[in-house]
Amino acid sequence: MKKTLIILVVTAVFVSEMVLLYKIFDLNHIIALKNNMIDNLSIKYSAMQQQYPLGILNCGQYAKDRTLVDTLDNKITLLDFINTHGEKIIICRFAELECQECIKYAISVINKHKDVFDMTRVLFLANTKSKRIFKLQNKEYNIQKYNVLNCVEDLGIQAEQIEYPYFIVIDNELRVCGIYFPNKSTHGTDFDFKNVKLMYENLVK
Amino acid sequence: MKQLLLIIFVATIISCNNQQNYSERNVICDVEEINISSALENKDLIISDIVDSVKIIVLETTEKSILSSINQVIVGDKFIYIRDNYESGGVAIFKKDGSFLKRLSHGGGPGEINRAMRISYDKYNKKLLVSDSRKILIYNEKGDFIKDISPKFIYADFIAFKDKYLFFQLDIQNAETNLPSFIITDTLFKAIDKFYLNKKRYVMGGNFLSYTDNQDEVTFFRPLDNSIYSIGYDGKIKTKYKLIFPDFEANTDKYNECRDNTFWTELNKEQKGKCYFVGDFAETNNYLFFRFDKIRKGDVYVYINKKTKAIFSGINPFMTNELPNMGLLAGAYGNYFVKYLSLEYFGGIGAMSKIIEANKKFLSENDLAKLQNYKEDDNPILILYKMK
Repeated sequence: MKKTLIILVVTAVFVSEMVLLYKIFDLNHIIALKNNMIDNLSIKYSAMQQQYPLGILNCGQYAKDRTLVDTLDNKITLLDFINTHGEKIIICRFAELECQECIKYAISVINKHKDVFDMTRVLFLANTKSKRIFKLQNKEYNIQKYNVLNCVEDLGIQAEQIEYPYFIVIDNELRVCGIYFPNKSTHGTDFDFKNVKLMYENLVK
Repeated sequence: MKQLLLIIFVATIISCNNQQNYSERNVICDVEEINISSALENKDLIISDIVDSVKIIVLETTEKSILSSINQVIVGDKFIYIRDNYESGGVAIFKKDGSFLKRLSHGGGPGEINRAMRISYDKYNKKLLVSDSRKILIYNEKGDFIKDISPKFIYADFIAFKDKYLFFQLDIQNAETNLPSFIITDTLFKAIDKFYLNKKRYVMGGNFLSYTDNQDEVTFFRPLDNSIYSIGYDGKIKTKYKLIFPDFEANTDKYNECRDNTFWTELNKEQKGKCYFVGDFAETNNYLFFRFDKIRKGDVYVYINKKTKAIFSGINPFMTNELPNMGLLAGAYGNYFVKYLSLEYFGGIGAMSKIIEANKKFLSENDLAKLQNYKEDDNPILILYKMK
């Protein structure tokens, strides 16, 4: 009788603990987690796949010579800007409607390497309809001391369609020599030293 | 020994019996249907026929008060609260005349906002509540910090109503995580009621909460579901208004399986001229406002007088430059609908002379002067308008 009772209790404890474990490690959560991991991997893979076509589509393309405006309404054309700042420059292009965290990260990449880059050859080029928000972006992104201009017109290259902040190296014939864009799936946080090195090499080449 | 084993056995069984204490709740539907078919025909909205008066508030522009893109506007008793995109989500407070009071500071310290996701004004207790990631920051109506609280449950969004708060999840989340759609709490954020709403199809985009300052209940809706629902203190969900438009209703059932933007692509491709409720709904003391999309024709604004049930409507009404038609719907306050106008999206400062001309009949001399002095990089204009 005593033995039966002990077996009964042990069985009950085992079953109830299993139920508890099932609840804690909810099967649906595990499945969702697995799906999430697969999604993340496929997003990363598709981002890697995108790098190549975007490079092919953009490199060698000629941008349109647009009028750029600063916060005080002073105007300069893109070509004039490049000619006064060197044979090649880096443009960090960002738009008002793109995610702010991604823009901040893209800007911080350049900021982190400001000793490497000649910052006079870096142009932060906003695409912001509102003059008020353009001024605010200068303050929020802490880029007042650099070259910051606004151009609401399309630059006429494929990269304008990706709706994400990106970098291009562009020469004084308005030819795109290289394009570098952070991975959307990671908010650009894997835009690392390798990309910066490539960008720098392209700039000084 | 036997007793000890028995206690362990009972305790274990009890621990495993911790069932979720929330259930599906049905919607009580005993409301009169409003047929709005006539409103959805192609015609212009002459807003001057139905607007009684218009007030404008130019939000002061200074180095500190400059606003990023506006996400939410609440007109409170004494102050105007604006949630904008500043630092990925900030809150600015203005006085009722538009003069700047303060911007809630950013950071991780006490009373500082990291990323404001939603603001709510508890008008009964005169408090401003800011949802910031996983905590709620509570301020007095002037924006002085009182305390913050981290609710002990998962939520996507929240709103205040009389002496209670309502937290809710988006459909997609509760379908996948088995969490309640709604949690009603007391003012200390202790959950007192949790429930599901019976399931409907998940639709990408659109708003959820209605624009109204009536805090005796919470009204909400789902895009493409032509009903407006309300939740009372007792947790009962009612259909408050049900719209029918048999001549124009878009058939959305055929896209039931679409869970992403292909839904909208297919809908817009196939059903030109048909209409669906976009998800903008506002309610003042005497009028209702709905925004519909007429596929590939444009927006249809529909106003309904709550007493007489008279319907006024029109397509793409902002083309007229009349201020009550322009701007984006931002809220309701007493008898007033509230919109905000960022001029850069409506023709820039060059459009101002046309706007002034079109609104002379609505505006006081003082308000017209404000528009004449408006500069291109000034903060957006708030438009408050009352219907006849």
